[in-house]
Amino acid sequence: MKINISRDTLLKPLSAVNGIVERRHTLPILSNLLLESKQGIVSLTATDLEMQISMSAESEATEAFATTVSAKKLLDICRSLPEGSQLSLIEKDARLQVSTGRSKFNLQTLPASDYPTISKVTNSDLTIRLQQKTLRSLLRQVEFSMAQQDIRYYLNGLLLEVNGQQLHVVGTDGHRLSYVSTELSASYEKQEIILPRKTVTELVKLLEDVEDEVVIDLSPNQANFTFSNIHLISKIIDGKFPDYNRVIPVGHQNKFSINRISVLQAMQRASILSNEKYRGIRMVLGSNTLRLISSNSEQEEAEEELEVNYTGDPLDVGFNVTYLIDVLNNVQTEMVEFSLADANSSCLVTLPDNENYKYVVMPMRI
Amino acid sequence: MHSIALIDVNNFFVSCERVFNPSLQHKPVVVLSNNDGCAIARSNEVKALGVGMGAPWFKFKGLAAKHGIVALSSNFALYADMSNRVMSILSTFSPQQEVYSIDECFLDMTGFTRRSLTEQGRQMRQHIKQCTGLPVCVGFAATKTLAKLANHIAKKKPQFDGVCDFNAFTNHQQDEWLGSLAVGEVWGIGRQLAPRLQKIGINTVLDLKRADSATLNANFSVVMEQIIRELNGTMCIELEQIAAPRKQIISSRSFGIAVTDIGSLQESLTLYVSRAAEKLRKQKSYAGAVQVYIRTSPHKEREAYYANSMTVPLQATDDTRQLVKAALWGLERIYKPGYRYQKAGVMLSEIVAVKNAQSDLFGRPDAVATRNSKLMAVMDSVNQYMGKRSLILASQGFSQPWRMKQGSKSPNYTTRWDEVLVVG
Repeated sequence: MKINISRDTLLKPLSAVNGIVERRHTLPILSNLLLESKQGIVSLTATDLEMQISMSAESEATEAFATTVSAKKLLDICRSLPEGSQLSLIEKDARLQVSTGRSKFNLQTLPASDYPTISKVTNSDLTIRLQQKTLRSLLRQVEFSMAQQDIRYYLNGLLLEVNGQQLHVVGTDGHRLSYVSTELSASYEKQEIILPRKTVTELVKLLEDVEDEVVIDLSPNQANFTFSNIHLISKIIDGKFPDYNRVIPVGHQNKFSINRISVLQAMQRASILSNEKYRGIRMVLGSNTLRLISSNSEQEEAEEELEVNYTGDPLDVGFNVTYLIDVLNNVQTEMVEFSLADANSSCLVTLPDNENYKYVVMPMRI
Repeated sequence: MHSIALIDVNNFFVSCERVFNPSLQHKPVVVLSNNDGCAIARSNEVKALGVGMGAPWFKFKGLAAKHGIVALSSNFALYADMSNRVMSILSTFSPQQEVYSIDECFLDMTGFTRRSLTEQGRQMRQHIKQCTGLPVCVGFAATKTLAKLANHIAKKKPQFDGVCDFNAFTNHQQDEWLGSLAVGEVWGIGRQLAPRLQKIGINTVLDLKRADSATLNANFSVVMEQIIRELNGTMCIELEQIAAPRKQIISSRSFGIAVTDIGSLQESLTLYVSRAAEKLRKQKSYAGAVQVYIRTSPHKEREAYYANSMTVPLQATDDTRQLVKAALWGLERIYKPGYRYQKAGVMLSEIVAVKNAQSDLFGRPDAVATRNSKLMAVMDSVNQYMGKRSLILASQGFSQPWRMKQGSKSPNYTTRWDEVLVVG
């Protein structure tokens, strides 16, 4: 019952799976991770019962074994050992001994057979393949719009909708919505799932900016992501995502395009004097000018004037400036386009020559 | 130099009761908290018997029988109405008024020099006595902190006849008075801070006034420096004239009898949410979250204790029905059978002004929202004209056996036609 492994090899999967371990859980075993060794492969698994991450690394293992041990303590130990340390892990009498050089640690274990692993549903409905960097960029472009602990539980996640040859990813908290889509290599029947918030944030952390493939298996109550040496299984939110097509406006006539960085910086400056709680800012459009006006409860005021190519109706619309700053921070293009109708309608933010990205934000009364 | 007045009503709740029931004059009277739990207002006679603020009723019931203490349940509708009357009379004395609590307010009297402040203080007292029957004391000084102390002197020292103008004293006299008061009397120095100050040799208000703020800064917060400056006559705490809209609205009560079933909890929470929602609409706001909490009695040692709460966010609204729905949804998740619940409550938070409302992508269409707000307006006006609880959500229940005990509450003399005092 012994594994030899270098500290550096173990550290990466150890930190990766630690992300989902709940610090204070009612089930003690959930603060542990499952440590398994089989045929020269060490694998680490952590779960919070909603999702599960497994990651493996090669080792010189002499015997097969499986046990569970505190995820946080094992991580803290590995982190604080010097780089290049060679560890030996020995399981004996319900304890795990980690030793290297003159350091020795004995940790409590709980039996591996009690660990509540989620097993992969065997017959998945749908398998799609994407490059890791594509999936990562899709998620990053929309994740900031997800709701957090909303009573409308189906908003606390991202919608993945496969339809024909398109994959649509949508996030919304009811005040704003971000939408992105990409083309798939094959055509599929329509299917949609809602991926929980925590799964999305973990995925974004684990996915790398590489062209290697990620395999996504979707079934009615589970999503599987396999990439690099990671296997992530997640439950999905059982609910009906609202019809996003209904709220993405078409035909807003009052349009202008503007340099993303300059409008972002102007908004960040104006936001300093916006009401701390409501974060309201007025967008006032006149002939070829955009003014951003804010004021707070202490009667302090900010006004930023920008030159734009605008010939639409004069308009005065209020928005939560945070929602506008969010989108400008999370897209990468040089220019962005704003489309508006009137002071009570939503504002659509799009990227030039790109039908695949849309951001909708509702106004606020100021 | 500023002239700040602090006016407060003596033994406010007891005084309100005495106005309408003169037989209580010169008798020991206490007003008990909700559910007749503990003393929250005491007449001077009761204070003299050694009953402390917040003393539990069951502990001094014996003493009460022996000395003929009259114990009354609290009648907040009456106190709030009397408070409004006092405040509106006082508002005629200065354009700058801060209503600080139900029974006290600050007035900025700076620049009113035609008559002496003492004379104006006498007039306030006389005017309020004549119009409402309530006794008040008035303190004038250069800062709010000193005005509080001046009011304290006016109340405790009979030679002032209820009015003390601290600004009229010489510096020497001022220091003499401050030297005679314990440091714990200072506004903002509570039971926690007083012993800590005494430990470093600061026993009287004068000691604190003369204390070196640099040394105190090391051990106390910046508030302490503010207090010291105020004691030295520099105004640091401004009058807050506009009452800030509430950031939270809380409505909770203990039950008259312990309840075990979820039905009673649902009824009571519906009632509390309805009340809170009414206040929410009154200040023209929406709430974005409802917190519900329930607990068993912490005082019954032989019974299992359970307390839990849950915050339920929702699309910002002022609609009682939406808020009740969220509260009951939360209740279902925290309720555990088999416990004897003694208290339940709700708190509305994430409150935003209607005029700053953020619209929702999937929100109710405008037509529905307008219809809902009209319905709520009708409900509020029916309840205002025809009496509370004329129009209620049925989930409040009708018999409400869990309602709290208010064994000896006086009539609503000033707010209900059928309870108006009849003379003759």
